[in-house]
Amino acid sequence: MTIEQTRPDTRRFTGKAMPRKEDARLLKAQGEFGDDTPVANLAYMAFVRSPYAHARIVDIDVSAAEKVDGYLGCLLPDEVAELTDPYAELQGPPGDAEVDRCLAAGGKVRFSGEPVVAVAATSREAARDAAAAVVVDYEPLPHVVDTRKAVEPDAPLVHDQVGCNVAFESTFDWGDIDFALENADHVIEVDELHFHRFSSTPLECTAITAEYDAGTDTFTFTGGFATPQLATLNLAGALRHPTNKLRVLSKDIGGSFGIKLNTHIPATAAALLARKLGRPIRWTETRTESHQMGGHGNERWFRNVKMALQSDGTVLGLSYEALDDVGAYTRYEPLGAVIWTQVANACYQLKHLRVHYRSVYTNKCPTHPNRGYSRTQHLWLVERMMDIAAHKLGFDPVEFRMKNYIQPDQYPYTTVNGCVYDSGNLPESLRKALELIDYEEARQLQRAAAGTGKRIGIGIGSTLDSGTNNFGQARLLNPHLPFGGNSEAALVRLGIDGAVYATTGAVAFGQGHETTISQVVADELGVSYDDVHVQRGSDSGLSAQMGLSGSYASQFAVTGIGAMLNATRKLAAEIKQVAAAVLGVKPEEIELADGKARVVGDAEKALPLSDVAGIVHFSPASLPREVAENVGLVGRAVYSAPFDLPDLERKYGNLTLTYATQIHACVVEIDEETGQTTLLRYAMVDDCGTPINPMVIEGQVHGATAHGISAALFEDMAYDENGQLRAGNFYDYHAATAFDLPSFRYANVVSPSPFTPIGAKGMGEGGGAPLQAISAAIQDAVGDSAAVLDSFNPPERVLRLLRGLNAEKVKVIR
Amino acid sequence: MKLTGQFSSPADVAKLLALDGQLDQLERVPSLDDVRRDSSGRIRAIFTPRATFVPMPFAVVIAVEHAGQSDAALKVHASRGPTAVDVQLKLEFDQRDSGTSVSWHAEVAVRGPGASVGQRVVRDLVSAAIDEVLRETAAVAA
Repeated sequence: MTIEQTRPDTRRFTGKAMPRKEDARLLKAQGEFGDDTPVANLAYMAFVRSPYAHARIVDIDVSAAEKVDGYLGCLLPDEVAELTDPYAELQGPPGDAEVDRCLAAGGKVRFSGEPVVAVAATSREAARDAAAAVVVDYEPLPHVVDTRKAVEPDAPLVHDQVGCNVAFESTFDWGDIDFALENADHVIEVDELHFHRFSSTPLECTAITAEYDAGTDTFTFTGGFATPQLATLNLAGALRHPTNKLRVLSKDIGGSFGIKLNTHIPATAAALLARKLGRPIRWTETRTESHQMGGHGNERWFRNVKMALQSDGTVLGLSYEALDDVGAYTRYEPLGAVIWTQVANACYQLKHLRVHYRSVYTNKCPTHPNRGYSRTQHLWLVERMMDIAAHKLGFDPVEFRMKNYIQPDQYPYTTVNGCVYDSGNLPESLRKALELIDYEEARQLQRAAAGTGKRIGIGIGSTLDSGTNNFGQARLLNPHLPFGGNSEAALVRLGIDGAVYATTGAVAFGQGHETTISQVVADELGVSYDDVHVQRGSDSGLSAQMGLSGSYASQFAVTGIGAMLNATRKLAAEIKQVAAAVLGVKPEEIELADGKARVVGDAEKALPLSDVAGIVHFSPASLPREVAENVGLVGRAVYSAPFDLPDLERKYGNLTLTYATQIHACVVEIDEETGQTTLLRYAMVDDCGTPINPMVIEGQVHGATAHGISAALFEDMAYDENGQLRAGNFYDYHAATAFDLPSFRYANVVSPSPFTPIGAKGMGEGGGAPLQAISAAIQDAVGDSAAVLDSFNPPERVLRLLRGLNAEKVKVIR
Repeated sequence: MKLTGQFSSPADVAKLLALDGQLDQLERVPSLDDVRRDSSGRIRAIFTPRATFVPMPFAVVIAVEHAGQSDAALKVHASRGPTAVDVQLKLEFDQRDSGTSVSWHAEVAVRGPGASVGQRVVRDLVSAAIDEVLRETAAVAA
């Protein structure tokens, strides 16, 4: 599969580190985020949240709230049950019996932090005071916070009507892992590994404004909706309101990383209150609320893990059981149960893979897609097992990876489950990463540190960022789901002054869409970078969106840019048609350059684009009738990724269009007295195909790296035995800052994707390479007397590792 | 968490125990307002501890599980918005000539942001609040 590609090397702007157009306003605090937009007669909403992990609601008394100055009204669970339908569930029986609404459903709360009552008041402070005055009587119920206990027969049920705590269960079995395990030279077994909960903690918590226009019976929502059309569908279903009477807008959004895919849930409550009270309602999430309910990444237990490999170091395959903790509700879940299969092979030439996967309810915050959604967990497991196998069997960790990596000449590479890795050069990426950390010198440093009270460890992380989903994979979850493929749309038009206006269906939350769109559109139309004006934010009312529009799954560089290129080419064709008519030549004799439409080979015969615009907009009678009737100087186009539906029986097919790779390497120092891990050197080598803007790419790689390091060492959304979140704000949930990090060492490799419009690949999620690299480095530092089996390694765990933690859980069977 | 405290009251044990039936007396406790008995016989009130940095009125429900000359057991639930505090409180009375020596032992569970955001201060705050309300209540009895 190949497609016609433009050549960025011949372009003025594409591929260059153009300064970001967004930065001027953002750095001057002139952005307009969800809480910034002035709205007349605005009221504010606050939630009364459950302090219990699991409890029956006995009584709700709002009388004290009614006495708070500024109180306007409230929304109770009974009203929500009467006025709304439950959100649609993706899974089939029995998990589809789950009932999920914007306030606690069925008379129960199912996690600490779940909204029970929504209160509105004339000011934010009054709303919070009124919410604090609402008295809810609860009857505590047995709860379950440990995923492993949740699947035991006598576990408390999170959803009684489901009848068990397993929302979804499936076995994925490719190749013949039983044969491999029986016949391999070596088998490594690990009892249990754990990938911990963390989140992306965007700078801007969620903010929503809901307005209801009674005259047109229309709701308008403004805020951080990462997938506006899907949000519209969810809101329409919940509110029993026609989709054509819902509009979803955003302006600037301060980060999402996936977790703002579920904004429709609090938006439902805001909408109900807006209609009930006849005033616009705004809800601005606090940081603590964001930690309680803003969406955690998937916590996953891997049990009974087995790896088969040969004496020469060839890894044959892997099997394991996964218990994925989705929290109290399946919001976007259990899609994670199939999303991980996009990267089934990880970076390696695995031939056999079997995973028994269960999505499990617990009395904890529901999980949301979170940077590297569901793939990060599997990728960490595979890389951890590669590292453990190398240590246990005495292979050099570098050579072991080099041998098992998918090799450059094997691309396009078909994985065990039919996914097609498009391109890459993993060995070269690893070589560069090792150069950046000065690997040989680091080994000397390690030897020299022996006996000093400090340990030096060197770690490698090998990961993938799969981008542009084939939504057909949802059918692996439920064959009745009406999804397949993926598409995005774009609008490009020539304004009355000849300026170019571009609107994407994608939603920017910091990635620099205005910049990269300007680069490719300017090149395509032959105008300057500054002549392209990209609409900020998104608007579901414009025709620039498709059903799957939005920003998620590392796809903008392919779908968003692909749609923009197609739309721009349509506009270019119209411009050429007009210029040809005016200049008396054929359209194919016109080229666009230097802001003009000019005759090829005769630069004197040219028409500035402002003239083209002027003629079409103000003097169409000057044009031949057939041109005037057909040219609107608007290009609207879609980009549809070339996917087929997967084979549901075999769970086989191509699920993702592009695979960016990230190879990270690091050197850590561990203090034997304190368990403190200090990063001495950190390197990342990114390969996301043909770069559109190298500076934007490097910035996203830095961001993903900082997040991954922070997750590995500092960030843990842990719960205590009572189901109480331990990290309610940034005091206890430390997101790394520059003070915690070394100066990053960055390089890239360019392996153009043969499948995408300009050879670029989606990137930015990062795949969790730092979690892998740091786990491996700590393992390297502590040696074989312990095993790093958790993705989170704070000092207290490192101290236990230094004393032999988990050694017995790793077995070399033969 | 387990908390303990001790104080002396000039009131004798009988007077202290009699408070359970005297809502008007409890209304005189400075940190308690809107004291009433609900249909289940539990005492409900608004409790505003002085130990907090700003006034934070909690809705409390107090159930007397046992009351005798030597000891008493109370189950207390306090809530304010998303924070809840459940206290299993045991009181031990030592009648002396000068009054009563009261020892209290509390098994406390804090839930919600009070447990997470407030985890470093909640122990001291809850301890101070229990001690304060018990002393003030005993003072009313005297």
